[in-house]
Amino acid sequence: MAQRIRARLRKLHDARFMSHLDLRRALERALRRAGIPVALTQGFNPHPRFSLATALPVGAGSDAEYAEFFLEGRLGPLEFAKALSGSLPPGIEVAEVMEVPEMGPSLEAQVRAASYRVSARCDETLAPVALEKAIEDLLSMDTIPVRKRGKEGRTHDARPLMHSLEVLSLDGGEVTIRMVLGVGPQGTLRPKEVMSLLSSRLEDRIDLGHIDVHREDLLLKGSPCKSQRSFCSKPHLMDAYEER
Amino acid sequence: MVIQGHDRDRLLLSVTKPTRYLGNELNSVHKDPASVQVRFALAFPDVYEVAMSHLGTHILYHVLNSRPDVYAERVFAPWVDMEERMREASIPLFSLESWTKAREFDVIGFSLQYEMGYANVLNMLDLAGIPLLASERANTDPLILAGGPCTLNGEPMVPFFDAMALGEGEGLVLDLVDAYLSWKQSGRPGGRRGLLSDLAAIDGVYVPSMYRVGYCKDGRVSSIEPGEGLPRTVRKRVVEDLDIAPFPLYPIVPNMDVVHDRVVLEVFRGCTRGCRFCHAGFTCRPVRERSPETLLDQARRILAATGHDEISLSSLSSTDYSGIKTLLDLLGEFEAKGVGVSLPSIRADAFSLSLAEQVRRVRKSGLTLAPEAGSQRLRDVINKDVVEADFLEAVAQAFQSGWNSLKLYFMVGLPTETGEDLDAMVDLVKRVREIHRAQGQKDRLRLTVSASVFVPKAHTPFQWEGQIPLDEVKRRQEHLARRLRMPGVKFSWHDAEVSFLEAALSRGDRRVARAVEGAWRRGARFDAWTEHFRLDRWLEGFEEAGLDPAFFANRPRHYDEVFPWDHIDVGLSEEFLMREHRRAMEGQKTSDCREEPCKSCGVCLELGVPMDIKGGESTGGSAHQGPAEETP
Ligand code: SF4
Repeated sequence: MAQRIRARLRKLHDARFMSHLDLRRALERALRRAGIPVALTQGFNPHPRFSLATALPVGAGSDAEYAEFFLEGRLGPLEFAKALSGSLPPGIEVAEVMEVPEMGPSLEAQVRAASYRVSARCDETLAPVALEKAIEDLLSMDTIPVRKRGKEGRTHDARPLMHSLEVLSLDGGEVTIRMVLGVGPQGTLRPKEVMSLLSSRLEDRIDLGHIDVHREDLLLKGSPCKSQRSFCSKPHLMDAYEER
Repeated sequence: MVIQGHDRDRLLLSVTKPTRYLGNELNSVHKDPASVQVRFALAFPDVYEVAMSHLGTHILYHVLNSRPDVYAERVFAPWVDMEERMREASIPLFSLESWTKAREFDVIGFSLQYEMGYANVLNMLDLAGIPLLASERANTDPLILAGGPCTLNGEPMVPFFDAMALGEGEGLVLDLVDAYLSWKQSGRPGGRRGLLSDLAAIDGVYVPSMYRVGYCKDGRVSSIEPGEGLPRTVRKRVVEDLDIAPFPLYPIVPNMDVVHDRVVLEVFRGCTRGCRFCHAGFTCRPVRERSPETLLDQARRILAATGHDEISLSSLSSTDYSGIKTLLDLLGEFEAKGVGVSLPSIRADAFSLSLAEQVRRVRKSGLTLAPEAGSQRLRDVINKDVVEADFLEAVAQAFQSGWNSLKLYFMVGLPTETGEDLDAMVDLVKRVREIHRAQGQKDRLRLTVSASVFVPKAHTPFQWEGQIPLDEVKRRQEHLARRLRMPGVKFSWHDAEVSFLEAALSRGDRRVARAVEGAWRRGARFDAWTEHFRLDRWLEGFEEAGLDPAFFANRPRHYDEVFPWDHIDVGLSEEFLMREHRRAMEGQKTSDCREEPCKSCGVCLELGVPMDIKGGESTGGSAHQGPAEETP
């Protein structure tokens, strides 16, 4: 009997600099090293069957890299976690593992939103009130047209993808904001885009050159959020999101 | 650490492919520097992806780090964007594992694999803050060594190195470390000079500053004089038994896409085919094989340690391996796990093709064949053992077995080449297309015809030959490009200017070093990368040095000429090379000494290391029981 296992992985330290494709390949090799009986894809170049929920920009850390593995035969989730943990390259860790029904939509199709902790350098003169005001202004807008990535001249509405923004700290020329943003088939908004929207409301006082992004969690359709960190400070937003 | 924390993150995020610089890959070795006696930097003058594809670097990393008193780390050329950032922020060249300044190492050993990496060596020394010239280094500077095929005529680079390690490095590198260690522990007697004399006493170590070169008025070398007590020639080192030679069973697994992302098994060293243009074919002798059992064991362990899904059989000509059938059968055990085997390039004959078919059960790959020259006459001149009928037969069989993409390798500008030979190349390509059409294959044919430019190399029978002039190379390339414009055929050729420079550097003498330095000062680096190569920098460098590159690249030599590499001994006898050169000019083939009597090239006897054939179904051969009768 086959089995489908979902794992939440962490990507920390130097592993942050691995691209999405690098991570895929690292997982492929880790599966083989661990001797996990993962199913192979059909065709001339068979590959282990697994999927990753969504890509992160290079340099971003994460407590929530979701992956699903299709196994041939059965292996308890705990055993799976142990085997995989022992084979991952430095900086990649297994945070939790669960079994999910074999049938059902793909992982990619279930992604809805992500929570990020985002830091950037900013002008020392940036006052907390000004920052809060800019956030309030942004959230009170009905639509926020932003340019579509890679498509010259086309825009999409960022507002419905902006679920919450919360200042975590503003100190000594560095600002940290928690943001919950839409990700997945319904649309994706990137932390950098939000920082840039904020900065433009603050006379460009946030340095967009180096933005530190850490993904804290990822919300999948129909799945309760299991990480310790509360996923969203305003849970009703997520309900609203599910309804759409 | 040269830089850490946030600053390191920011630096990494400002460059393309930051994983090149992390040094934390699976199986990379991290030691406490305080616990070792010698810190050794393995330097490769190219970018990470290329460096990590070099088997020798992996082997030496393993050999050195197996010793508890040595810590070997990697130092590679930063890509141009990283170099820019480093120079802006005054960050010196650093090692990958611990981000330690390169100049803080005891020893830095560069791998010289191709001439187009020469400018990068200077750039790396400069980035490290180490004086370029060995003569200007202080006692506190690291010992700068070179190894690799280019050291067999390393003269254009010798002023930049304290010493060169000739031949195979497994044993040699440990001897070097031992000599360094005892010099260091006994209070560095005699300073740098003292160390160099100690090194010069090691078999296979060439200390260039201890050899004096004289020149004739016309620029040729007149004499090479060893310093007191030194031998006239320095002989390369070889490993005797590959089965017991160290091999990395836990190789580093890069986090990014590198050129060879697979398990590499080294099935044998050396080649006895004797293609007369081939540097490796003459300088890597004698043939020494690993046994199939050793290789299977290595494959199992490396697969377990890396998780790769492909095994590549590396050697100069893998289908020549005597145990190839046995080995492929043994490697079949991985098939069920989706692990495929690849044969990089195969001989164009039925036997090799059947092997290619066997491995293709797991992985579909293109087929690469190398006839090298279009006409039988020219193939005889270069001693390439490919007969047209066999070749076409193999091609027909390949199409029948479902291969529709085929790569053919040729060379342009070979000695004695005429327009007829070029036409023969075009005809051969046409024949291949006709076979495909005649078979009524449904799938479209994809034929890649690739032509490199002949570069005469030291220690080969063509060392006396000149490269044809640059304009003429270009003319022949254009002629071929025009004639090969046909549906289904893609013609690609090697940059003639790069090949011209390669010819000038590969047979240059030590005065050429000034040209290398001049070119580097004008911005030359990453010359192996088309987008960075500019010939004018090099021409200006040569001009500044008062030298003409054509003197080294294009000039035919007499048999009595003293070569800049005459004091470097790879075991071949000069009479043998001359005889091979004469036979080439007469269009006479010389057979493979594995199959027929020894050709007395001298290697097995000179080096005292016999040919070592391990596999079961060897095709026979009489090895080296004395000189054979030569048909003149
Ligand atoms: S077969 Fe010829 S070209 Fe190939 S390695 Fe041997 S001598 Fe060189």
